[in-house]
Parts: sequence; C-alpha cells; structure tokens
Amino acid sequence: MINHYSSSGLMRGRHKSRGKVAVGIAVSLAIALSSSMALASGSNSKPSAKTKIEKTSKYIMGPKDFYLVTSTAQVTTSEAKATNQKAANAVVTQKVLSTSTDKSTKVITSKISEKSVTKKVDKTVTVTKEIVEVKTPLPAKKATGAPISIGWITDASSITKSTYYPEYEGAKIFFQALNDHGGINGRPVEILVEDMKIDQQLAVTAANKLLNEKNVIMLAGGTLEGRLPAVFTVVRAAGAPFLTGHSARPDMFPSNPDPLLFTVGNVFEAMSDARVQLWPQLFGKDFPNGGTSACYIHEAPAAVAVCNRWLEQLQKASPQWKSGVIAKAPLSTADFTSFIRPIVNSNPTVFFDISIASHAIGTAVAARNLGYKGPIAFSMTATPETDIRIVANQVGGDKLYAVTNITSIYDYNVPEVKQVVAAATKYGVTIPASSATMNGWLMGMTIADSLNRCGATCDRAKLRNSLEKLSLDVTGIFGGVLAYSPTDHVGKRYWTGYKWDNAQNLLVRAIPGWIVFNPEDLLIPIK
Amino acid sequence: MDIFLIVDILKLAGMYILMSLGFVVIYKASHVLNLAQPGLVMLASFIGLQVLPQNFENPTSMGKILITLALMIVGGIILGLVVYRYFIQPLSGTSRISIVLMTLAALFLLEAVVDLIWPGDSGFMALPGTTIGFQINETTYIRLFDLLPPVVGLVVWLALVLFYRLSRQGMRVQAVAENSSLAARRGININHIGAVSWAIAVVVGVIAGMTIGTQSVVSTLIVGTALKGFTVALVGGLDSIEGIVPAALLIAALEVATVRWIDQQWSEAVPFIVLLVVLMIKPWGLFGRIEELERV
Repeated sequence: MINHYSSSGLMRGRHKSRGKVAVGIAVSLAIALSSSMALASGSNSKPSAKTKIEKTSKYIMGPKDFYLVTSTAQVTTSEAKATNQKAANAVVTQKVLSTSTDKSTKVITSKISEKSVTKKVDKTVTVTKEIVEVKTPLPAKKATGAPISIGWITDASSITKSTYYPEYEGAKIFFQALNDHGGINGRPVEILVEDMKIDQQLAVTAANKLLNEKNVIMLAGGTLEGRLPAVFTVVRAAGAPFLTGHSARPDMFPSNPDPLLFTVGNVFEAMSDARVQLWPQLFGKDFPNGGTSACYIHEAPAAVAVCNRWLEQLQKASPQWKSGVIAKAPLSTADFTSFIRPIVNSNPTVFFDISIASHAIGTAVAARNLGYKGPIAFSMTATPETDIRIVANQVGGDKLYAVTNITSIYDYNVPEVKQVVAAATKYGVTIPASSATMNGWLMGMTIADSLNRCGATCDRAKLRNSLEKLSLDVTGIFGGVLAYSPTDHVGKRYWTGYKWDNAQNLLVRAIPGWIVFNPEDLLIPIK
Repeated sequence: MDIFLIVDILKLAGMYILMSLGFVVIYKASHVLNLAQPGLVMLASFIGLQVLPQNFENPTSMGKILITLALMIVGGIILGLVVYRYFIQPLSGTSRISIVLMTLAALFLLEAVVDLIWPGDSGFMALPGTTIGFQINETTYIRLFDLLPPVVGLVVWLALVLFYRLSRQGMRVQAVAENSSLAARRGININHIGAVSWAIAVVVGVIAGMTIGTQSVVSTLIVGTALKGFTVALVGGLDSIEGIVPAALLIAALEVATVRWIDQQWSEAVPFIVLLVVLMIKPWGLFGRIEELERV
C-alpha cells in the first residue's frame, strides 16, 4: 500500500486560497471510504460531505505479465471542524473486500475500501472511497499489424542529452514491453525519434518531418522550453497533439489551454511555488528555525521564475527562511569559482543548485572546493540522480539533497522502479536509467492509455480528445494521479525530497510521502 | 586586498593563457587563424575523461595518471603532425583564407567526432589530492588545485617564450614568420616549421583540455569556453606570445571584477568589450606588430 501524506500546512490559515490547496491535498492524496462523521477528537460540529465518481487507469508490469488496471471509485470527502488539534499527516487504511477471477479471461475484479483521516489545525478531513478495480492481463504475444507511429523530438547529442534523452528511452522501453504484450488493440506502437539538440530550427525541421512526412499521430518530448513555441506552430498546423515532457512557461499552459498542448512537465512558476511548500519539510529536522537559501541557475530567461520567484515566495510564506545570494553563470563558463564565491562567502544555511546537469554538478563541486559545508539541494527535474552521484563521488555526498516530482531510480522498493529497471535491462538503454527515464516511462503510459481509449479508428483529433480525458494512476512514479481536463492540460503535481546516503551511495527519501500541488493554486496567479 | 580575488583572477588567467597559446603559435608560424584549436581542447578533455583512472585506491593509479598524460602529449604531437601533413600542407600556396576555412572545417569535424563518440556526455576528471591546500588564516584556505591553471599556464608560456627566443628551431619559426620566401631561400624547411608549430599547438591544446578538466565539468560547452582564448590572443596580439599573459590577466581581472561587483551575466561580454576597446586603440593588439596585421 502506498502511504499518502498531506502537505506541511505551511501556509494554512494565511489566505483562503491556501485553504483551498489544503482541501485539494486531502482530496487528491487521501483516498478513502465515505464517512459522514467526524473521527478526530475535538470535533464539535456536523461534517459536510461531497461525493463524486473517479475513474483512473494504470499499467502494471510484472516479471512475466503486463496488466491494464481500471478503477472506478465513489469518493466522499467530509470535513468536520475541530478544536485543540495538531495538524497531522493522513492515516490511510485500506481493506480488500472481495476478489474474483474470471477463469476464461483471467480478469481479476477486486472491491476495495479505503479510508483516510487527515487532521488539520482546525478541522478533520475524512476521505472515503469504494473502489472497483478491474485488472486485465494484456496478451502475452507480440503485437502485429501496422504500427501506430509516435513522433519524438529530443536532445540526442548535445549538452542537455542527459536530461532529455532518457525520457525518450523511458518511453521506448515502455512501448517495447507493451508491444511484447499485444501493443494497442493488437498493433505495435513505434517511436520515431529526431534529434533537435537545443536548436529551435532543428526542432521545427524535426517536427515537420515527423508530422508531415512520417505522418505520426502525435508528437512528444522536447528540450529547452524556449525552443518549443516554434514547434507549437507546426503542431497547430498539423492538428496533432503534443505531449511535452519537461519544463514549460506559463504562457504555454495557461488556464484556458491550447487545445493541442499537454505536459507531464512543470510550469516554472508552479514548480517554484511547489517548492515553497516542500522546502521546510526537506530541511525541517535540520533547520526548524529556517535560515538563508542561496540559489544558482545558469543564465537563461527562466532564471527569474526559477530562483527569484521561489525565494520571494518562500520568504513570504515562511518568514523564517530568508532569501540569500542568487548566482547565475553564462552557459560557456569555464570555471565556476568566481560565480559561486559570493554564495560561499555568504555561507547560506542551504544552497539550492538548480540548472542543467553540467552546470549543477560543476557549481556544486566548486562550492565544496571553496569550502561550503552546508546542504546543497538539487532539482532532479534538471539534474538526475545519476549526475548527483557524480558530485557525491567527486567531493563527497555529505548534505546533498534533491527535490523532485518523479520517483528516484534508487528507490528500489517502489514496484514501478523495479518495472523500469527490469525493462531497461531487458530492452537496453544507452544512458543509465534515472528519474528522467521514469518520466519517459510515465509519458509512454500517458500516450498508451490515451491511444487505448481512443479506439481502433483513432486519429489526431480523437487522440487529442482522449488525452484531455486522461486520468492515470501513476502513484509509484509520480506520486498520484495524472489527470487532464478541457481547462487543464497540466494537472496536479506531487513533490517529494531525497537525501544522499554515503553508506549506500545513493539517494534515500528525506520526505517519506508526496506533497500535492495544484498549479491552479499558484501563490501569485500567472498574468 | 581579498586574496580570493587574486586567486580567482590567476586561475582564470591561467586557463586563458593555455587556451590562447594554440592560436598564437599557429599564427606566428603561418599567419593563419587556427579555428580548430577549441575543438582540439575539447577532444583532449574528453579523451582525458575517458582514459584517466576514476578511483585512486590502487597505489599504481598515480603512475597510470602520469603515463596517461605522457601518452596524451605524445598523441598530441602525432596528431599535430598528421593534421599538418594531410590537411594543411596540401593547401600550401593557396590563399590563407582557404587554410582558415580548413581549420574551421576541422573544428566542425572534431565536434562531430566528439558528438559521435561521447554524445551528450559530461563529467569530471577525477584526480587525487583535489582537496589538498594550505590554510592562510582561520577563514582562508587555498587549494593547490586552484593554483594549477596559473602554474601550468605560466610554465608552458615561459617554455614557449624561451623556445622562440633561444632555440634554433624557434628562431627559424620567427624567420618564417618574418618572410617565408626569404627563409625558404636561406634553406629553412618551411614544411618542417609548419609541422612543428602544429605539433606544439595540439600539445598546448591537450594541456589546456586536461587543465580545464581538472577545474570544471568536461562537456561540449568547452568549445565556447576555449573560443575565449581567441579573444585573449587578439587582445595580446596574434603574433605575440609575450602579449598573452598581460592580455589574459587583463581580461580575467575585469571578468572576475564584473562577476563580483557589477553583474554576473555581464561577465560573458567582458572579453569582447575589452577586445573592442583594444582594437579601437591598437588594432594589432597590445603587443602585436603593425605590419603583421596589415598582411592578413
């Protein structure tokens, strides 16, 4: 069973919108059976209850079998006011009520009940859920027939390859595994990949080739967000959906979304705001009274969104944390010493090192060489754990942290990690599997699920509609459900944190669960 | 005076010296801009990353490092001779622009080779003793590795200055640079001088690549970094080995000062602002000869 935890309650009570975040947290993370009574001690009023139906699907790959699991749940959320209560993480209890197997189809149907109780400062939120889960084994035979072609653009040969190429490889091995189990409606899915490096013109050429010559049904991947708007133009002209895998700007995914653009990545501002909630939890034990946060980002237009916004909001939301030095170096920097020196001289309580991998590891090593002994935190969305290991091996792994919205590949006990590692071993990857590979695997599932629901006569327009109805349970990889709607092509994000363990030479969880963040609840709405 | 300011300037200047030497050595011998130099630096750093031992628990590792470095320098000499013999020498007698374009083509070729063999790779040259240094006072600790670039840069630069001033071969290079036709008539083997110069340039590129690799991440970004060496060479004077050190110190000092007191992002523009100013005042560079520029 996966444990779910609510957010820190960091901003609770400050603004009404923050309360909305908290409710969202409970609804999303805690899944449980309906209960109309307040369970927490200290409750003193009748609870109000809301009920809705949630449908999700997920893929489970075992050592031999591959299952498509669809779940229908009746979710009831109730809140009861409480007094004299300390905030606490959700306590989730799950019970399997019954399981039956159809001998001819081997379809397993389970009825499950879950109940989650989350104690807030002034209320108790109880979420209950009655789940009917149908586990359908995919056929153990290779898919045949005309392949369904997906176009993929990525950096296959330049400086951001270690960030973006594993996404392609993650999707590739997912579809190889899926194709060995019947593919989509018996048809194999092939990924046609083109190298765009971090070059806008190359990206446009690649997108044109894939969409107009190869006639792929959709486009996926991408590299630096600044290179993608020109690709969007090509995508719109072709009427094909585009699933991006990484960072994005607010104008790419506004609240009234472009019909064809979807992402499993992060909008910079939303990512920064999510970290505001994450930060105190990551360092809570070590620095309960807060401190000063310094930040490094390579020279880029997104630098303001990534460092400045985050530090400003962190200080507002959590006054015990002060904004420290922000360092930025040009991409062609030979030596980071003089850039990192101001950070080291200011001796921040923590140093958040967020950049492309080559810069992030270069600045971290420079900081340690200059004598900085405090915690260094990376963003695994930009610096995969395999690159963090390079830093640990170069200057030692003491006080190295990472924040992420994708599970680390070192989290060996998570079933989905085992699946990805097994597939990477079986089908082969050129870059050691990391959270970036997991992100690609997630993209593969997103595409497969949309294709599956799209049906046998799927085309670009139908696939777009199908993507918009996505509700995919990817808890093991992603922390929760990835869902899109006509007004939201981004969905919720779930964040967690890791800390480097020298003894094991890998990252281990610093935050045991996931903190949910809804991009709609940006601290400062995007204009 | 902040001692770290001096250390940072010396460190950056040391790298700039190593990155600019290859440009000047070739220009001095043939009046050709060697645009392949950044590619050679990048190739050397990737080879170093590939072949140097990654851990030092084995006591023989230090020996392996030294042998590897020696082999890379020998490899650099051979590569320089091959490049000259098969790519540059056949263009003798053609316009200089043809040779410059050949070096540009070589740069693209080297980038393609690195992309092919190490696509998207990056990493550190793991060397022992990176934390060894000396404590100056309670708060000041200087790593020996931070002094490596200025020491190596100065040693290589000094060796080349002495080579050109004192050795017979060096004087022949100067003679060819003065007037290649006259030098040939006096019995100097022009091709021999060219080959020696290219061998020196590649070896300097190897040393630059290895030194950068000890200080920062090895990646294809090194090409952009090494191109700054061209700016340093232009500021010092393209035909002047002696001009490299003051030019490197000037640019490094202004760059570090900009990072520290003005704006970190402006530091990228500093070498080019210095270049513009110097070229406006002394178009032949700080120590370059007027007639040399007029021949280009």
